[in-house]
Amino acid sequence: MLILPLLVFGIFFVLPSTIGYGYAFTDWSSYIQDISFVGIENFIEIFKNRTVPIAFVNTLIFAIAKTVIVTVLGFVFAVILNRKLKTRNALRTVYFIPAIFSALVVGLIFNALFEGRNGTINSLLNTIGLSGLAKQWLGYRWSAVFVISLAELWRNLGYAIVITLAGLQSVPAEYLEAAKVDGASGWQLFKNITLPLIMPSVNVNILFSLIYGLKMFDLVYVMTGGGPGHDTETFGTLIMNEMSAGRYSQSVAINLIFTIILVAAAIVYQKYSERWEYIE
Amino acid sequence: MRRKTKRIDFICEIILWFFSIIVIYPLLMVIITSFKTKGEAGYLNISLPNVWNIVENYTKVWEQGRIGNGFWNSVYITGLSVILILLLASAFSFILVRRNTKICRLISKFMTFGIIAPFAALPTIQLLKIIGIYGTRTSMVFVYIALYLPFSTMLFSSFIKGLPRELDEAAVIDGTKGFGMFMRVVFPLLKPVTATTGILTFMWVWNDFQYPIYLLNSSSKWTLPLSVYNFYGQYQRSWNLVCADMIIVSIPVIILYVFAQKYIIAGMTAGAVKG
Amino acid sequence: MKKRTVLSLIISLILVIATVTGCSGSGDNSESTKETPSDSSNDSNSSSSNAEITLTLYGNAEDIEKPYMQTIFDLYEEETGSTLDIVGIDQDNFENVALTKFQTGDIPDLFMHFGGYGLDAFNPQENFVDFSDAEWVSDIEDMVLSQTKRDGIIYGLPYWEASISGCVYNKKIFDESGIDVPTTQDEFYEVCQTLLDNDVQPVYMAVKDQWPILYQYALDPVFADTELLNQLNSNQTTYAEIPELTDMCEFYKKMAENGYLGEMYATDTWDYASEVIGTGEAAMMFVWDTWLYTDYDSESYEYTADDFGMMPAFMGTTENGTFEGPNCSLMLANKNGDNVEAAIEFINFMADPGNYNIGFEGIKTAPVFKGQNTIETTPQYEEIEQLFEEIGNNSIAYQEIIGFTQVEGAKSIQELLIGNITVEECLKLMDEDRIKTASSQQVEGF
Repeated sequence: MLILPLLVFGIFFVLPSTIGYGYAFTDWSSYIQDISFVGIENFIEIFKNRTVPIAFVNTLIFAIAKTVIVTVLGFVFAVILNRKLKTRNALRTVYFIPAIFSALVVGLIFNALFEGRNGTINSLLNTIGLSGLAKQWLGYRWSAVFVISLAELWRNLGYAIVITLAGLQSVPAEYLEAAKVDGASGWQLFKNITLPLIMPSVNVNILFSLIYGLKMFDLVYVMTGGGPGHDTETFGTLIMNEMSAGRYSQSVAINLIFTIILVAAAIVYQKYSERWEYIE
Repeated sequence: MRRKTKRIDFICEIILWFFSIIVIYPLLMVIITSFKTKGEAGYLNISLPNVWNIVENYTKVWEQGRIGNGFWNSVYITGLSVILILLLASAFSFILVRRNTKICRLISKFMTFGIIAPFAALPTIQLLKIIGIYGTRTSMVFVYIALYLPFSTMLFSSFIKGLPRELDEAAVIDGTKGFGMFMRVVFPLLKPVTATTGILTFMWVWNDFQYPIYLLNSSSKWTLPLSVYNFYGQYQRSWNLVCADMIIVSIPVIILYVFAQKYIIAGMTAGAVKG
Repeated sequence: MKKRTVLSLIISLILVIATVTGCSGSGDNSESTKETPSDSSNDSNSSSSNAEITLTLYGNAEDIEKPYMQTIFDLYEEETGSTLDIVGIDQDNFENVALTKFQTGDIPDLFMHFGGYGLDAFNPQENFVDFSDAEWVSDIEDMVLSQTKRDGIIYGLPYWEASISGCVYNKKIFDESGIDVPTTQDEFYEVCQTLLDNDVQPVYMAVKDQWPILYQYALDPVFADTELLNQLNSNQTTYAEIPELTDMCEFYKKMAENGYLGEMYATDTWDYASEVIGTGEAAMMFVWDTWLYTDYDSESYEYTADDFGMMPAFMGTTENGTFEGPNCSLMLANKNGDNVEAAIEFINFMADPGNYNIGFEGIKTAPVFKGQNTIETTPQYEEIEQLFEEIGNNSIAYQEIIGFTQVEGAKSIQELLIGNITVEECLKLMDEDRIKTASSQQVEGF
């Protein structure tokens, strides 16, 4: 039972991915028919690439913003939605729906909302007299980063809520009952029993947010194409651009570096988070 | 005490419904756009359409997008993938967490690689060709299982860690061991996680379009999300049709989510630990 | 213990069965790809085609949706009883997916792609049928023929529309403001100023989408000089060293700074063009003539398609402006495929005047084939046909500059327009990107 999943995972994922990374050391591009090894030439190229620092900063911003806000908000909402509210099911469905939409649609929606001429947000700001705030949101770097982060948040809140909710549901009712009998207050119940038990799921949330936040690409691509110029590029869009330009080996090289960074981040986080988990 | 809780609940509900505007407004944008004609659809707001095109849009999407065909392909691929992922991941993570040997912890860390590494199209295709299943829908099932196994395993693991060991030990004392114990005692406790993982993986596999365009070799095998490409017009997209298509593609997921809600709701078997 | 092994066995069994059915399943997909009634037992009176052949066709989803493509596909299926498995992939993924498929040997029977240097990535010599001796070669208009060739060999049929690109302008607004159509670059700037003084946005440029910056129009006249083009393509000169390129950047900068692109150009999108042009908010736009009839929403606005005229694009690189000739997508056939004969037959079918005249009936386009008699040339084209002969250029930049990308170069200009960088920096960035691509393709000199 242990072997089977590992086998499937190994063959259909790890194997192709590893071979894929091998291309980073070649000169593979769209026009080349015979590929040859070039050692670390691609990596030297990357260090000369001036878009990389910009992408790095953007990627970090997106990832951190997403991780912190989505996890915290998701947690708060999940806790509230865990209560015996009358319209609980309806509310849960409503908050989950954004998660279903593809990047294309989400990008579409936020493009329309923040559109420069007649977008909803600008129209709203104008009507309530704050027209000074109305601007060309997606036309300049930082406002674009802000809007994209907002869109990403909107989309991902649903995931965080769902995962945290499931964790909350798994807290054995007996523990809570027993503690209540012992006279514990609502807050104490939460702090001493619920919180430690759901820490693993909160950790998973944080990890996923971090990793997927760092990998973020599709929303940026749809909303600004990485622009204006290269101002909102992330590692993900960078990789995609190199692919589109036919510079495949470059694309894979950036991907390799990126993967190493991600793995490092993941390992560091996991070591740190293990301290928080309460395993009996 | 009870009254206070009820009041807090009530206030919470109001607040939540207030904030849900942020979700509902954009949703309305999409739904209403799908009712409009192509010209009006360019604006993407919630003003009601001047010309109600509901029937035309949806029938057009159904025919041109070959929804019927795509639907069955999607059901086959997604259904099979999700069922197998759930079975494999749950058992796999249970063993990993409970055994807790060094190798098991290493394997868990190894799984992290799985959520990081990107899709390597070329090697995957070559691999599938060597095995001989390239271009089939079934090859996609394998690829999806491999792809989402890490995530599912991590999710299951995190919850199993929260399950008290007394349950296992109690069950062992009761005489059930190994797999039987897993299926009868532990698995039911995992209902919330299973439902959650099921919904999430279902959604991701259902909505995915990247793998099918690389790994399938004929449009008759295409899955539902690819149907939206039929509405990419000459230089402009028909947003009204695109929205209608998106809605059609999303409906199964929403239905499944509502259905799965039942299982996510507290399903703790009362009395699993006696005394 | 036993139960666990049983479960493992069951799952393994499922996977094996799935694999086996998968193997046999890959060859039996003969479902019709269209809803049209094309039974396999139709009277197939065309040459020797077998009724059961299915040809796979890969193309860009947007290209495939063109009405004249759909018409000819349907026509072919009806008349021959063969089926076409049309695989349309979206713009963003198309190049990558197509290249991946070619590199793994999964080459379709038919392939739609633009000509020029971009086609070389698909190794035409190895993969595509040589149509140099085809009957229909003499039927193709000269201005299009060069696009079908690579290294002197004709590889594909340019079954496509021919549009002329330049600057579209609102005739009525010009009349009302007493403006004459400019004939020089300076006159163009004056026109912009007059319009601005009359509260009309001179030009609408969808800068946010990047590709509508369309700087290739500006480059065409510069590289009509083949020697210069060859020097560029062998790295003996760069954009920065060519004075006209600096002029082009100055042009863009001037347009933005003087307000000739309006206030909101940074977030203007292509989708919004109809609205802005149609309400008369802006008077001019760099676009191709057929856009007015295929995309512009004539019915919804005050100004209909016929209210617009075409004038040269004055983008700083030539005194009298330029037009860009057509860019035609080619239909190519897999030389090594199992169905190569049927594929060739399909292409010949498309090239038959009887058929293409049905396909292009009523389509707005300039002529691609000499035998075309059902097309409608646009009024805009008719007006400038003479002028086009004098100052028009083939689409050279897009097709022939090695390392040219419409979007990447546009990104640099986008930054210039917003004011982030200077003209020198812009040219440097454009050069860098171009050179990087060329060297990754191991072109001589880079």
